[in-house]
Amino acid sequence: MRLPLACAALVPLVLGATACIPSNVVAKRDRAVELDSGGLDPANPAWRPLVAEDLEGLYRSVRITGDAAASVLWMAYYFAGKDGKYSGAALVTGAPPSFQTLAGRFELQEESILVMDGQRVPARAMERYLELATHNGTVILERAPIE
Amino acid sequence: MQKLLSGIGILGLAVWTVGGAAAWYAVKEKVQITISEAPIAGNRRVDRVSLVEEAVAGLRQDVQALARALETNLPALAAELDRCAGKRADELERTLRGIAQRLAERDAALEKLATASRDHRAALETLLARGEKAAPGPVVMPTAVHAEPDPPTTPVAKRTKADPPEKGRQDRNPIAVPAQRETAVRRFLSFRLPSAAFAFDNNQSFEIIPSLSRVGFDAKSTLHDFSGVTSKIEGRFSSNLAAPAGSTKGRITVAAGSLDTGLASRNEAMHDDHLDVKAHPDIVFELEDLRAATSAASTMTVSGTAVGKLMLHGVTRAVEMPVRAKVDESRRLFVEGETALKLSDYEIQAPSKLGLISMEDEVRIWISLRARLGVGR
Repeated sequence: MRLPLACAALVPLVLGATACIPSNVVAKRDRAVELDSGGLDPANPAWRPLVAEDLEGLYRSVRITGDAAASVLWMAYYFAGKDGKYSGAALVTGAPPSFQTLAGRFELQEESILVMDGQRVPARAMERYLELATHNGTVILERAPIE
Repeated sequence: MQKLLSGIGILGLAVWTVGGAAAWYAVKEKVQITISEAPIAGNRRVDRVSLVEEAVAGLRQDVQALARALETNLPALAAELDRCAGKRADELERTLRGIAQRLAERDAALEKLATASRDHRAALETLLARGEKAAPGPVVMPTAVHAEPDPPTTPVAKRTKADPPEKGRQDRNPIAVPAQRETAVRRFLSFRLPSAAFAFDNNQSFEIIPSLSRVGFDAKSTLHDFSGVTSKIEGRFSSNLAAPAGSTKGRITVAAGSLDTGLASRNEAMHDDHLDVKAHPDIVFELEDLRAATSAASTMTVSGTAVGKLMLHGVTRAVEMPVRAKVDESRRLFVEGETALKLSDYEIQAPSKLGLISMEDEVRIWISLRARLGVGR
């Protein structure tokens, strides 16, 4: 008789303790890992024509889309100087993955056409971002500070 | 007659000679030649100093005339010299610009040559690597960077023209891209890409991206429900997304000890008492097939039932999980699915406190995975 009474006395205690624990079920819509938007506003991309001042400096990729992203370019960096020369590095798949580096010349032509080593690359800008597009992919680059 | 005439001639010559000698003898004493200075006007004697002074005066006049002439001509000469110098400077400047331009062109050509050289080297390495694997045969060095397409290690297929543009892009007015011909070495903004390319309708190997993936379970208990989640996932699978049934296989491993319910004490009990992660650190799903699968190349989506074996708590049982997959704009495969399982099937005792607060035996397990082409990792 004393044991059931003791259990009954413990019930409020246990209930009280567990009541402090909130339910934390992950909603279905929250199961997927949210992709990093890189600070871009997906609802209102305000791209504008590119000007020469947009190009100079250090940029890192925040999004790569298209076939180039699939096969498989993970990260790209570019540094463009005032002298029309640029250098870049990109991490690509391999065994093991490795950085590729390159250097070349660029020139801004009419209607936001960036010529990189003879290749015409449509480009545009938005705040601190650049978007460069080719037939096999698009990259959005964000200006990175040099500290 | 002839002799007569000759005699007369000789006689005449002798007479002329004798006559001349006699005449000279007769007058030689009567002729005198005298040489003397001519008298100056007014019989005045020549003054040498005056002559010098006159010469100096003449010279002075000449110098003054020359100075006057130079005074008028020097500015014209200077102007002409300036004009010639300017013209020459322009010519030199044009020449220098031409040299600079040619140097720049050569610089660019050298850089392209260096790039081409790197491509040739990569192509040669690829060919050599293949040559080691394949039957012996001659290795052919490509003659040009863009001469011959580099056969991919994974079969490549292009998207058909009927395929619609990608959905989910941020910009409703995507940037216009000029059409370009395919090149031997696939490049993207001058970077050389690995030979494999995404293809919806070929058998390809995918690799889980842990940082973009989650698996978990939802459990119900007497008082409050909770989920356990982890991103410590490894694995790869292969599939022909256009025909996944019969072509889909893989293995996915989850670190059991990384499942997090959001409550440390509950995690500890789950890991130690219920999952026994020291003895069974991994939860493994062997994917054997995708049944009743449907595929749409136009939207790059796949759905069906993943079938395989789940090893949990040291117990392996067959499971089926309805899944949906979609290729995103970065050519990653996004896979979602969920199913129910009973803990008791895996010899896991459902947690209970004093018999009053208990967790249900059935839990829902779910996956939210992103995978990308596995190239050489």
